Amino acid sequence: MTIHLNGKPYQTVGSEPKISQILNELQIDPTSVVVELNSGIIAPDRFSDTLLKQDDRLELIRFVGGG
Amino acid sequence: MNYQSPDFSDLEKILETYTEVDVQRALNMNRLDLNGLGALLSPAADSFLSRMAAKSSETTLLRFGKTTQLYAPIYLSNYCTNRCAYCGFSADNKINRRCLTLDEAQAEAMILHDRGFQHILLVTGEADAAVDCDYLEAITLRLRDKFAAISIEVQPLSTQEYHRLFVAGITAVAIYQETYDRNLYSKVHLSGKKCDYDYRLESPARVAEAGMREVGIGALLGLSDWRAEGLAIGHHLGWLRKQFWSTGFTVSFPRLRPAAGEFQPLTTVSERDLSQLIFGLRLFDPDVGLIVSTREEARYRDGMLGLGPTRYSAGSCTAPGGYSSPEPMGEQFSVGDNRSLAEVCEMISSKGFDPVCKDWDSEFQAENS
Amino acid sequence: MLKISDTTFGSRLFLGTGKFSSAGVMKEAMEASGTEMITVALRRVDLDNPEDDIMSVLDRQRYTFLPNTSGARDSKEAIRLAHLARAASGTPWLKLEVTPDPRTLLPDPAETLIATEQLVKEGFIVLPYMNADPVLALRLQDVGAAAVMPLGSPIGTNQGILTAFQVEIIIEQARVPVVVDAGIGAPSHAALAMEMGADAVLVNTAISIAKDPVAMARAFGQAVEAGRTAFEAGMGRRTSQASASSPESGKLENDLGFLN
Repeated sequence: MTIHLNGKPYQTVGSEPKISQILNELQIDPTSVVVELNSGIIAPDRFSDTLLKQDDRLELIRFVGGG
Repeated sequence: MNYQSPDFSDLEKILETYTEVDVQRALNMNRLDLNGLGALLSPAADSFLSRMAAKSSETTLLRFGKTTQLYAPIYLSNYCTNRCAYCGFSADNKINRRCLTLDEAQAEAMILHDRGFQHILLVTGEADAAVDCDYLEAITLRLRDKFAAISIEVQPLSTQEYHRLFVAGITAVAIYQETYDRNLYSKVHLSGKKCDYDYRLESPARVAEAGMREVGIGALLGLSDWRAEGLAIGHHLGWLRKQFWSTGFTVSFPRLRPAAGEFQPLTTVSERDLSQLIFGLRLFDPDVGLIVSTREEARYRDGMLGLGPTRYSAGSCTAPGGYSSPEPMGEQFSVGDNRSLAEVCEMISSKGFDPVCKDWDSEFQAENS
Repeated sequence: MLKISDTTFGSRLFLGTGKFSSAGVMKEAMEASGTEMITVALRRVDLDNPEDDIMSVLDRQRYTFLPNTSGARDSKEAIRLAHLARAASGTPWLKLEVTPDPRTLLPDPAETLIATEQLVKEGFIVLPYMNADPVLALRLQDVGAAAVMPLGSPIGTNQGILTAFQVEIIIEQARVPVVVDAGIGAPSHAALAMEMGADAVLVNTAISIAKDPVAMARAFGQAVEAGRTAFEAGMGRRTSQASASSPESGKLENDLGFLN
């Protein structure tokens, strides 16, 4: 299944994966990112029960250096 | 956002601490803070008065140019429910009481209009039964087309009432604290609504909140220590400027003169003192309008032209109906400068200044505040 | 003590975290500067480098995080970034930046005002980055900005306080703290802003690109403290005797012979 992850096509391992699975695949600490799914912010406690669908737009965002 | 005035005796004490070095430092500052104002109002500044005058004159010229604004008061009523020890309208004084009808008030205004005035100040004693917000709104609606600016100096009103009057066409409100000395305030205000120091102190903020273009503050000189009054005015003005940045402000310096009731000033404020106060406030706030009324004598007003003041009254009578009547009675105070508007204009012109009767059109006021 | 919203800060130096050579140098520079408030930006996770997380080296207890909305070109984009920032930081602090012109990165006054008003309503503590326009500062204050951040000169230019005249007016008029941001290229610029009466300054590039960022951070900390102390001590204004005389009359004194 393909989703749009940070603006690029991304092939998920299974079909309808949870957000927590994607983070795990990418080895990203869930507490270090904000997740936006189709322009809505997903709270961290929903990562493990939010299922992704074909063509979903998933954004993983975090703080970086800036002035 | 209630304003708290600093303790008056603290201000008096601070004023004793300034030295000539502080005064010199203040005179070298581009922009004075409250400390600088204190130095310039202190006894230490006495020998610097002519230098203060030069700097005040330069500042006034830069900001206001070679102009002096002119206005005249119209006394609507001398009924008053307050007993104020210093005032000719005080409820105990046996004077002829009169409240103009709307027709009479309009007739008075038209006399001033025909003499060339475009800015009038409506004044009344505090007696809601005689002049209330409805009355003021009605007279304003009658006069707004005839004058460029109509100000009021009346009892304190609510924010809603001030807003009503703004919409009707009032441009400015003067509300003087009389004295910032809280203890003395309660001694000279013997009875009536005016006894409430704080309600009066908060009035200028209500005026600004209501959207008025200009608010006038001030203190009567001759009640308490004029230096501390000046510093208290500086504090109040600074606070108002921070809260209401789009409002214009003026300060008046009514010096107590003999009035019915035989109240003698509690302290003497000389012309020199008054000048020091005016120069100090000008240097503290280059943009503030400074008003000198006909309480002061012609010689003084002529001499002060261009040195700091920006607005003079002229041809004033302080009794209700005084302009229509050949021998007015029941005045609030007697004037020191009896010249007509034309004579005052001539004096201003002869000194190379432009007498300005019209500085704004209330027709431009929008109801959006 | 500097107080913004309901929080007090012991240091009047805010530090930006951009353009450091490494997270380690940045952390050390922060410690040397004495800062208590640091700005951070929001970006998509770099999927090729997902473990690169600046939050992990920074002590959340020690520093207040001030996320910015850098990159936003209008109020809508800024508001979206603000929501993400709040989700990421867990706090309502926000440095609002709306910079539609990528060449100068100058802030858009109209969009900044719109976004400030909206975000204040949503409970954010908004510190808008703005051009040094005194009326704009007052308008932002009136819609609830917790502080205003006028620029000294365009961001990254190291030109110092070119807007000194307007910044002075803002400092004189504003009820909220004034934080001079952008263009501060040397400790002397920071000291000047503080001497003028600014409540704080924000510095980034001048520290991060210095040969020794840690030493430069210390120098900025000292400059900010010196400038503030000088301001509180009551500076004599720069003036010449000549300016005390009237250009019109050339007089230092006015004759007051008319007085009674």
